[in-house]
Amino acid sequence: MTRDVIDLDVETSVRAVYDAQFGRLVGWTTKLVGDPDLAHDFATEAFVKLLRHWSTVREPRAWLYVAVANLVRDHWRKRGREATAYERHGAGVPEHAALSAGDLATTLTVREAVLALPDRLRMPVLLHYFADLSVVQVANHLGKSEGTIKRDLYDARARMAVRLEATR
Amino acid sequence: MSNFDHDPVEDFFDRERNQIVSQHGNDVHWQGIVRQASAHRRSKVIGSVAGLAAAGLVIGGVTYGAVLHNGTEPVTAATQDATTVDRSAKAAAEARLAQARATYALIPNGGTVGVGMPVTVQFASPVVTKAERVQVEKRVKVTTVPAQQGAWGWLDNRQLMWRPSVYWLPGTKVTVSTPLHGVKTGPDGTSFTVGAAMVSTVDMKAHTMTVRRDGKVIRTFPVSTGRPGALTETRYGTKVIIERNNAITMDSATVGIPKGSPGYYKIETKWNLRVTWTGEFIQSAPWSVNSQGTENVSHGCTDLAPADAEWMFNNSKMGDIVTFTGSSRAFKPTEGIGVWVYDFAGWKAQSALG
Repeated sequence: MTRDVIDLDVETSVRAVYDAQFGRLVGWTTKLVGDPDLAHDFATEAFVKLLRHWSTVREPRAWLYVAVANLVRDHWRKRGREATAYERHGAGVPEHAALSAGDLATTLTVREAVLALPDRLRMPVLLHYFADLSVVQVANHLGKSEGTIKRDLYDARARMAVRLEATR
Repeated sequence: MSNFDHDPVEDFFDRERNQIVSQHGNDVHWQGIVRQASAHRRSKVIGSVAGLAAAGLVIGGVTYGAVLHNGTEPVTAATQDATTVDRSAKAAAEARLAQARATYALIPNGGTVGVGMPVTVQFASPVVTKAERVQVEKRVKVTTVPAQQGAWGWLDNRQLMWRPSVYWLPGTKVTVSTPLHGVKTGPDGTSFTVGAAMVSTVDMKAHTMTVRRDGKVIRTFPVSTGRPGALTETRYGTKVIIERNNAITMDSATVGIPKGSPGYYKIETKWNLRVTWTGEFIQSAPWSVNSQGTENVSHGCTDLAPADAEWMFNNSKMGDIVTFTGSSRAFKPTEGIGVWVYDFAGWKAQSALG
């Protein structure tokens, strides 16, 4: 079995990033997946990757949030398929069906809000609004143009505003 | 409450961001990450550290995750009381403070640094209110030998820094005491030594870099900095060397030039000194030697000839100062270790204690 030894300088650098970013990253992820253990696993996996790819990473914070957002997206897609299968058997209740319309704005969570968006809009929204990355950073990391990201964010805002304003 | 003047979408995300509760890492968990990263690349072992998550959940005796799923407003002592009935309001308030201070790191942690290196207490969760900041600032203490004037200030919501009024005196011993009670990752204090005063200036119009050690000019190098333009110009201002890294792959996709576009590049670079978190380095650039000293052609980095960059790398340390002049793009304090962007009066105004 081959082993890649992590260079001590790299370990020291990534440890500094870990001390500064890990806690918040887990908290951020927990808001999205609702399960603190799973969030902890995702953030851990992102740091394992960061250690391996440190020499290619210029913006560690942005890089970490993109890595975790990808894991969250995959998780949601998998869960979505499971939920659909479950509903076909007649037992499914949509996650927010229990909320009364009157207090939607004050009880809507970021997870529900983002899940209500079409799949293509979720990553831009998560990275820009929730992880505080700039439009340029989001565009680079998603391999899209700035114009596309701006359009996606505009579209997402319009959809969300309808949902949030309906409850004033 | 009316949201009439606000954008409901931004308000929503502001609130959700404010409700993020940081968990904390620890040495054992970190070692697990290093082990996994060192192991065979194709193995993907995440389950082995899952058990540690349980420890990260409970902070100061309060399980924050539960509060947030029910909560309709940012965490307050009152909302905590609702979920911790056997806990007095005072204890809950203390637990909240402990949580605010819970996760932090001290930088630098030992070693010898440059004359521009501030003491940094890096919090994983935001410390926003004046009351919380006052509480934190009252507890932390910096001792310098020989004694030097300096002050704490908040660079942003998570970074509390202490900088001297002027650059450190070389040879200063700095001891930091941070008795912030509560669960935390960091130690309660640290100490470090200030080394020789390496202070460099980059004149982007003259395309030169001048290196001074203890006040005397020891080297002058021809350089090429970022080519004119909003995205490529090198920022002007006083920066601090954040990190030394002797080999990096520079991928332009990370600075806004995606693969497939005309200016795309991906190059191995050597002798890199990081000066901003936005991707500005002082580096060896054999490809731009012909422009060094005459024109600015880089994507924001300061390019040096290989031998010059190697010398610079070997003679630099974290905390050394590099002041850039001659561009129209300002270095913002939070884009790096930005404590020297302020004059001392301006820095003192960053303290909650005034």
